[in-house]
Amino acid sequence: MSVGLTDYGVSLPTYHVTAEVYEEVWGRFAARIDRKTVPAYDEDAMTLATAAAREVDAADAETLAVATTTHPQAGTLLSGPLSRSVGLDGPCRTLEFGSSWKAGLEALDAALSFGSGLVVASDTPEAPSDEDTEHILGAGAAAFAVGDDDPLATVAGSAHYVDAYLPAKFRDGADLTDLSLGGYTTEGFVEALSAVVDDALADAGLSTDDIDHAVFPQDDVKMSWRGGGRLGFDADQMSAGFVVNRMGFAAAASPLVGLAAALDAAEAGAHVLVAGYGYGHGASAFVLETTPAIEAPDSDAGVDDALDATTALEYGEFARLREVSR
Amino acid sequence: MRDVAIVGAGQTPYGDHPEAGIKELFASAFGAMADSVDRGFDATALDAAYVGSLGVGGSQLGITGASLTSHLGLTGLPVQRVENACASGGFALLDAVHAVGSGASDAVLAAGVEKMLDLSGDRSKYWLGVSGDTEYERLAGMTFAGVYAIAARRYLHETDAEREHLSRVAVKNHENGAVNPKAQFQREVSLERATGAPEIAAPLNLYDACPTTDGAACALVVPADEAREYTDDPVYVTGFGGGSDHLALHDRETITSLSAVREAAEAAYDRADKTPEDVDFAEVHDCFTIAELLAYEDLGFADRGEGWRLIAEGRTRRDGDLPVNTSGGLKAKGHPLGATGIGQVVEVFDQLRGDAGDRQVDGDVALSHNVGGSGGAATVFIYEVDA
Amino acid sequence: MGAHISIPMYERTVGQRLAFEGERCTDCGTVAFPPKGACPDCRNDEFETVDLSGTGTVYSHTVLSPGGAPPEFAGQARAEGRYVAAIVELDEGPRITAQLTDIDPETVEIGMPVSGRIRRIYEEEGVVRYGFKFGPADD
Ligand SMILES: [Zn+2]
Repeated sequence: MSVGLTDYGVSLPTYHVTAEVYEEVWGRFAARIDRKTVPAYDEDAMTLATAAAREVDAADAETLAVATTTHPQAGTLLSGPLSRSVGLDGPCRTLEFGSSWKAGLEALDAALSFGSGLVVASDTPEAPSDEDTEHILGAGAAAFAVGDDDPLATVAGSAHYVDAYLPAKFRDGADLTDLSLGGYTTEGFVEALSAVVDDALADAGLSTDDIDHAVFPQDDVKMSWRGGGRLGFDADQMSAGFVVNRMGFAAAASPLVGLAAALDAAEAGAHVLVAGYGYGHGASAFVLETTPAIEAPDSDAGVDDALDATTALEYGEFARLREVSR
Repeated sequence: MRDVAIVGAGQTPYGDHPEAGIKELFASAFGAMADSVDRGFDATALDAAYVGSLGVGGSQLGITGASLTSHLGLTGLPVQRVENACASGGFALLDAVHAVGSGASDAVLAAGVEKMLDLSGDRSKYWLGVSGDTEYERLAGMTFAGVYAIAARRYLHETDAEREHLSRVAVKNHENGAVNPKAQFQREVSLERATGAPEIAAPLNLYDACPTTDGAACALVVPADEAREYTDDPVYVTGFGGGSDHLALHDRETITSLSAVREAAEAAYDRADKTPEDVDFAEVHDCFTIAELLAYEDLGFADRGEGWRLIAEGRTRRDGDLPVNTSGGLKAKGHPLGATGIGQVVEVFDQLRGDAGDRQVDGDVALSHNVGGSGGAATVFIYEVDA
Repeated sequence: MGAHISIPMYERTVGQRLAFEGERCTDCGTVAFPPKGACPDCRNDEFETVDLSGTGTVYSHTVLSPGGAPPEFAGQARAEGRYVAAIVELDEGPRITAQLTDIDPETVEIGMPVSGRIRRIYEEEGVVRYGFKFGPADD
């Protein structure tokens, strides 16, 4: 039996704040999304990772691959407390990826390479709230069990691409900085993404038309849709995994939450493409093919319901929470 | 074991003492105690001293006892701090009773002191929480009020008591505090005001809680057969007992009865050969109003789940058949943690000797009840005078 | 300043805080949580480790007003206002004190089913302490 994803789950933070609420205060909302998720005071990348991982059956995992760009305890690994809280403490290999928004896919890649493991991507990116860059930032986590026991989806193809691209967006301390380089930002994005999408499709022996659901990087809505369009995908293919509209951008967790949403929507035999881009270096893409197990009643991660379940904050509540939490 | 008696008891007024630290408070209480010994006494004749204090503020946590007695020139005296949180005073008295009762000592000082009002807001909140279970209760963000609130919620769930009965405890104790010149709050409160106060830990509000208090109290414990060398009106300690329990409420079988108190009460009643019916009045540990209702039951004044009826029927008011907290209790008299157990002795001493002024009640048999934390430690004493 | 739970003291209890590890008396089968030095029922001092479900019901609770929060919880109180502390009776029998989260304080009732989840408890000496809280069981 070939290696694939045997289970998956997501966790979203407690709150959300809507575009209207931002517009009332700032006069505009720069993110082109409806709303974004906001962690409660007692939530962070570790707690969201735990909640997502607990949705997944991976009790025997021998590899724990974790991705986050917002480690709550700088200088240590998330895998320590995470392993204990999901029962993987003991003889378990840990791998952590964290410098890039592609880190979630890197963690997935690692577990797939080992043939088994638990993959968890969790992120709570931040920026000063008087900067446009902040408006799109949300939070969330996704977890995937990788193995060969009755997978829900197997890997049909994959590709990677690296070059010295412009670090148009980067972290300065905890805060995200966007140099707002416009077209120059898009250039590397489209070039690297084109390369991995083309190669992954070729690896799978598929064309763009064969893809039922495509998940592209979601740190910029316009760039994501235009980029996907330039690669030959239409709205029907991109909408299921386009979680940014209600979640905001959750950095390294975004591609995997998007993948979870796409798998929720997928029927057996569907092809799902997921691609990630890391500023300053490159891109990765995977093509998955779902199996009949995807249609089991309990296989869904319920991303849609989880997005619905968040509680709305007024801007004042949001500001208070941020002011005290940061 | 020989019988013991109290021949002197005195205290500072309870409340805010900006001019006094623990040494000055102790000196003031010691002076009040000495003045109450009818035939006077020679402080240098003391054999030992036990000083109850939680050590709030932490400014003299080490060798607190000697820092106080030496301030009065009583160097050489074996003295120690006794710490069981809010029951530190009660346990200091228990140690003094044991020391005299055993025959080892002939004149022992039981004291208590606490200085609580000179702390910054954060330090004060920190110290108020140190007597709960640190590892789990405190890590749940629990406060002292919160622990009693959880007990109160459960009590209201398990019994027919209503929220208002808690407030009636506060109203009664303020009635008594209003006529106690040593009380921190010498004013009455209406039921309306007590029920309408701002919530601090639902279902408890501000008027369900005792204040933070500066104060000290001292009592002189001697052998019963030597008591008349000091006074014609000794107060005999005929019953005494201590008990302990898990610190955390969650580790206890029930949270609406304190087994530490039941243990202490049983020991005290047995030793005094008395029953709850024999008690004429009592000073009980009402750090929160719910604690007084639990005390009624744990001390045997009422059956389990029926304690609230005593307050509902007014039986524990000054004019009732079992006056409780004639001093105003912790609620109105004040609660300087380590001093409280000895402060209760002062009230009992004054009442039994007819010196309680406007709040005087009748009786020859009294009881005091002092609880540490949420019931992790407790003492009960029974006092009698010659009829 | 907060109640001082040293980092090693916290570390010794991570099995409880992150994974609901309890102990079962080898003599009488009583389950203890958190672990004790002796069986709460028969005082036997031999136990086997047992993984508890982390689900239970509210035994009693309080809603703490922000002004009274201990200093180490002042940030939480400022950020979110009132918070709920409760005793939860676990399905396996033992009771434990913890915060309730993901819930409107007004809707909490004795007997309500809850389940455990890992949250930030507080930070001391720069170290984030994680541990269980409880939320609505159907969550
Ligand atoms: Zn046992």
